[in-house]
Amino acid sequence: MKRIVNPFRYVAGVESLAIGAAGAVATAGLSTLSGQSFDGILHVHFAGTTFLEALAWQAVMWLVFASLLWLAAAISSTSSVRAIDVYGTNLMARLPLAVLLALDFMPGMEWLREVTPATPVEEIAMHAMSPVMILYAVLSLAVVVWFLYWSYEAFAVSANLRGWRAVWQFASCYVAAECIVRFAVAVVA
Amino acid sequence: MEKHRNMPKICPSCGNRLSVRALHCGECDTRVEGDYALPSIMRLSDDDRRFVLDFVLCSGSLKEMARAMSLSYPTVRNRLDDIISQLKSFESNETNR
Repeated sequence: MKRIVNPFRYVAGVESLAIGAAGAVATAGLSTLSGQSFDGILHVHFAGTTFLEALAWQAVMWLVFASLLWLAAAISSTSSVRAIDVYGTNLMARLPLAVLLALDFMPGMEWLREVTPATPVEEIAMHAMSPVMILYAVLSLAVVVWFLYWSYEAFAVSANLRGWRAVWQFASCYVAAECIVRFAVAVVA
Repeated sequence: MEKHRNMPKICPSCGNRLSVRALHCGECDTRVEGDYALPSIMRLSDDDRRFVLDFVLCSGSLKEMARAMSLSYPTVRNRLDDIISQLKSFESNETNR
């Protein structure tokens, strides 16, 4: 159980990087199959992307977020922080995002995979209050919390930072990364 | 079989740090009395002292320690950093006394 709550106490460095890379490939694959893609660290929208495009965006989001966290750790931590730990654990902390996309394949959610940017909002709204959709929303929220919690723990363990100072730094890096990634997506689009 | 006993470091009555009052030679029964402060390393918790001992036995390799303890490298390094910080605070308190 401890390994699920905070796996970074047990796994870091190259091992976490390898696990995270496998997760990024899975996330990109699910993104292509579900027709949904990330256009922000935690923002998903309906858009058909190729596997390589989805994988490239995964890499950009990871590198932007992890680089900001590494910078924060290098400035404020009194420990000798290894870049491989910050980058590796941050990539591994993205595993819940694969679960987020896998939720699209729940029974009763077939319609969601058919949605495109051209689908009328009224059509999407028709499904909004169905029990399956409510379950989907609750599970999605839980997965988002899981992603943020793991990302924070990855930062706290790899940078040896704790308490409100660490929370504040993590939140600042998250907001900055979200802004940078959305700006990059807007520029590329 | 002799039972392992932990040396008390904190006074059970007032909660202050204990010091060594007497030393005894089990061989010749010589007894030395005085007021000796506990060495910094002895003031660490039993777990932390065990960690320091294991660290030395691993030739000071954090990677080796992490492998032996089935923990990640940063977890072990953080624990060592916390112990270093405790030892520094003991030393600085000792200097200020």
